[in-house]
Amino acid sequence: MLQAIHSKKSLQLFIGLVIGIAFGFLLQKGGATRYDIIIGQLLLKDFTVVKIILSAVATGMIGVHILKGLGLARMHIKAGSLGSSVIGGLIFGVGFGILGYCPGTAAGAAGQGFLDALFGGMVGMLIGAGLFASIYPKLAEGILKKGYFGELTLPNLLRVNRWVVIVTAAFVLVALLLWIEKAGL
Amino acid sequence: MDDVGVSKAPIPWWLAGMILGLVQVLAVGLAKPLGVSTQFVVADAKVLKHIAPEYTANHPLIGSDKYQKFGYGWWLDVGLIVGAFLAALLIHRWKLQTTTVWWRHNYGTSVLRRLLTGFCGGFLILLGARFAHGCTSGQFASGWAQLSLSAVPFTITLFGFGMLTAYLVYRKIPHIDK
Repeated sequence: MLQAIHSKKSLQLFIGLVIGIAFGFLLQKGGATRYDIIIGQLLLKDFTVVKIILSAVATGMIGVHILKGLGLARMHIKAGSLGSSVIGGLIFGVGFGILGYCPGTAAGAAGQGFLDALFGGMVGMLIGAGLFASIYPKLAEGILKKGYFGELTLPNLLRVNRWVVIVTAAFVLVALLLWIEKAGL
Repeated sequence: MDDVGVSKAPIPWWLAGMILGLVQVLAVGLAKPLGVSTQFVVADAKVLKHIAPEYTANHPLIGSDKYQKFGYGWWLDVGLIVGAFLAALLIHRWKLQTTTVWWRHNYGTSVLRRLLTGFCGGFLILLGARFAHGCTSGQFASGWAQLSLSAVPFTITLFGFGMLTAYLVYRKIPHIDK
């Protein structure tokens, strides 16, 4: 049944819209579309963002792998390399610290009426995307491939059953969350 | 200038996080993991197709199908804006504003200054996201959920440089009553 859903194009567009609405709705409800909360996180004054992300990752990780185990879904691992991940993270981090939004929260903030996210952030994002596209041909075989490791997953790297990693990670994430809460952060 | 209040988020973090995790699972089951940044390249690709069709057709990235269609990902991004809009509207927190407490505390009320720095920041996050094949949604959240190794170095550098930059940019910290 899920095969049929994956192959119907028009249904996929509708699903995208609905999932997107849910995503944006939840980001707003969790407070993540607020620039003050994001900057507060980076300055370690407000841990809302980390708490939301950790609980979302823990839930998603378990659920996605259950789906995979049941044969109901496949992974979409992004092929990676040290060059792309480290440099990308660096550039992203600097921009994140300046703008105070990531692409998703910027879109959410724009939806909430934040004109800085719309006219500053999103316009900048479109130009940044354009720059990337224009320099991509030069980067593709060079820096983007430095330290290439393909679609490697943590279980593959550690050569363990994925559930060992998942259960361990879930424990660690929950422990971290409890610790953050207990510390009053 | 009056904020809608840097106050408590409408719902507790664990509820938002868990439901977001479930949305991720739903997305993977029905379509693909969550992701946001690709669509900004798509928007550029579509425009470039109109104004420079030959360049686009020959371009290894934006000429490809992935970047020339308004598919699942596009509508996800559209829905994101709509969803946040609805959520804010429902609790009377929708409001046009350009600067917030942290910003004004450090840089005053100049809207232009905020827009210009916002532009620079926005430029960098999308550039960085496409380098890394994904942003905080596509590479970080979806990457970790799938136990993808590519999420690890990205997360470390993202937060490392994010924290360093925020520290350098926002020297003054406003007192916020929660």
